[in-house]
Amino acid sequence: MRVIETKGLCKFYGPKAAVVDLDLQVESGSIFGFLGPNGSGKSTTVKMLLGLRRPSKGSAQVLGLDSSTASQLIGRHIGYVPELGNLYQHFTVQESIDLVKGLRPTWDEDFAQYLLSKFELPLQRRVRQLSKGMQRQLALLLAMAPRPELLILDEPSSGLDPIKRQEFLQILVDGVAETGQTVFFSSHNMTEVERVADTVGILHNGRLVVSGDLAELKQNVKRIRVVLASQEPLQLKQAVRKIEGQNGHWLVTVDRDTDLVVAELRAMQPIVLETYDLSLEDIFIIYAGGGEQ
Amino acid sequence: MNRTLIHKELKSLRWKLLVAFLALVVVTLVMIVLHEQLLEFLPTDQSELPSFVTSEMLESFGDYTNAMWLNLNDKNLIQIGCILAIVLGIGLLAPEIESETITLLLTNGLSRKKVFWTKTIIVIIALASLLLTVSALVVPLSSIFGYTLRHLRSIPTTLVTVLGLSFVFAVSLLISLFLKDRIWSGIASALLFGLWSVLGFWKSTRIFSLFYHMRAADYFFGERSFPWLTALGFAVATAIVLLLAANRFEQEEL
Repeated sequence: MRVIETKGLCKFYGPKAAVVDLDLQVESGSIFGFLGPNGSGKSTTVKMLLGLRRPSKGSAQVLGLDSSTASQLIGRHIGYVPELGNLYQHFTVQESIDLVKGLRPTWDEDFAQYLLSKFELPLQRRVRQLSKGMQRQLALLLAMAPRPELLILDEPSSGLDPIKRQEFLQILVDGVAETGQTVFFSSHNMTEVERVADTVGILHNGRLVVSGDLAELKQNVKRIRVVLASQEPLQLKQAVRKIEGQNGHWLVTVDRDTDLVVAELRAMQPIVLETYDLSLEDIFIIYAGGGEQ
Repeated sequence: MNRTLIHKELKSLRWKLLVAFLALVVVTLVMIVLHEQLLEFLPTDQSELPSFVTSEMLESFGDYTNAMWLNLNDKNLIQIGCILAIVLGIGLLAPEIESETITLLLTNGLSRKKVFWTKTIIVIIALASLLLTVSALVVPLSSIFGYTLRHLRSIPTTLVTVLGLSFVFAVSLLISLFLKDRIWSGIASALLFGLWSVLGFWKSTRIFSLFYHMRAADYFFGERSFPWLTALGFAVATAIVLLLAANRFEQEEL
């Protein structure tokens, strides 16, 4: 079952396109890492999914409901942590908890207490007196404690120290394993995404440049180092994503049919031919850093 | 109306309401305590008075009931009430949109419609309760200091004031939804109502003054019956502006 599905989703601000023809699918029970450089349209997409902004064109379905017309219903089944805080600064931690608890009938008090003890949040302190990291933890608690079917997190662990970040990721993974929850989260932290996400989508200039199973993506995207005796420019019959280098020393980036490219290079009788696996960060830079095709 | 949201709104409003309440109670007490002393300072010669002070007004100051109404309902209740209505109007949604706290409500199962109307109704009820309480408090406070009010028409006039101030609140709210900035919205609202009040300075233009109608003076002085039409006019105008504001909020890109 698809928890999120967008079809030709577009958002324009005057002549500027923030999101263009976005076709996104997020399957139930998956942890979807939504990646993209600053200003690539991630937050705009998230806000359209939540019904906070209206699409200029196309549609977005969340939990089978149209986000433009059924945002209230969607709100009853999701947990959301925005990139910038959305907490009432003059409220105490307890008052913030009471507010969301009162709005969400599915609030899981035991889980809330568990998160509270994990995050060590002082109940009587005002939100404005909390550090940025603690405010983030409180926002996560408020999003997770109602046990929503879908968690939408915009840069969820920014501001958390490495230990708290690790704890948070563990809680996220455990939650998914225990409840079958779906998580859609945007992040700049590739290590974090690589650790927990099973599916990723990379957004660049408002367009989804790649989306799919992370393991499959890492299987497909490879870098090949080849040293040839010939000083001629390297030309390949197989389609590759990028060729860099000169004077017989080449780095070839492929995003599919690695074996065919390797076979073609091998036929050139190279002095050196090595294939490298790439990290998600490398893959991200290839797709979002303007890697040519 | 959502009970949690009502509770949250009252929590957010409590300091503004408390400050306004205390200010009005202090002003009322000062007026009661100083009533007789103030009479000694009033000039007996009409030429020494500003042009907008009529001889009837001067006579009225001698009468405790009239003096209290002129000082409290006709002046401080409208002035402090107007400032409060503007503060509540510009503070209702614009700061929540600016700080994105509104998304906490909207992504936890509340519709924009419910958020808008719950918040708005709470403010209007709070504003009405505050002004009517202060207006009614004059009765026991007066008796504590040995005064008796001849009649209680000041309380129904406060109802008209409340309806007029609800309109001020609604307009300030609408302005804040367009400007999306608390300070600029406050300045724009204050300017608008400040200029509007100027119309009340002259007899020929006061018919166009919002604040002139808000006083319901003719009713208080027993010259006319309760101004139902004025009250209805304020209620209808407030409802129209609130519907415009609700529509604006519905379209707002958050």
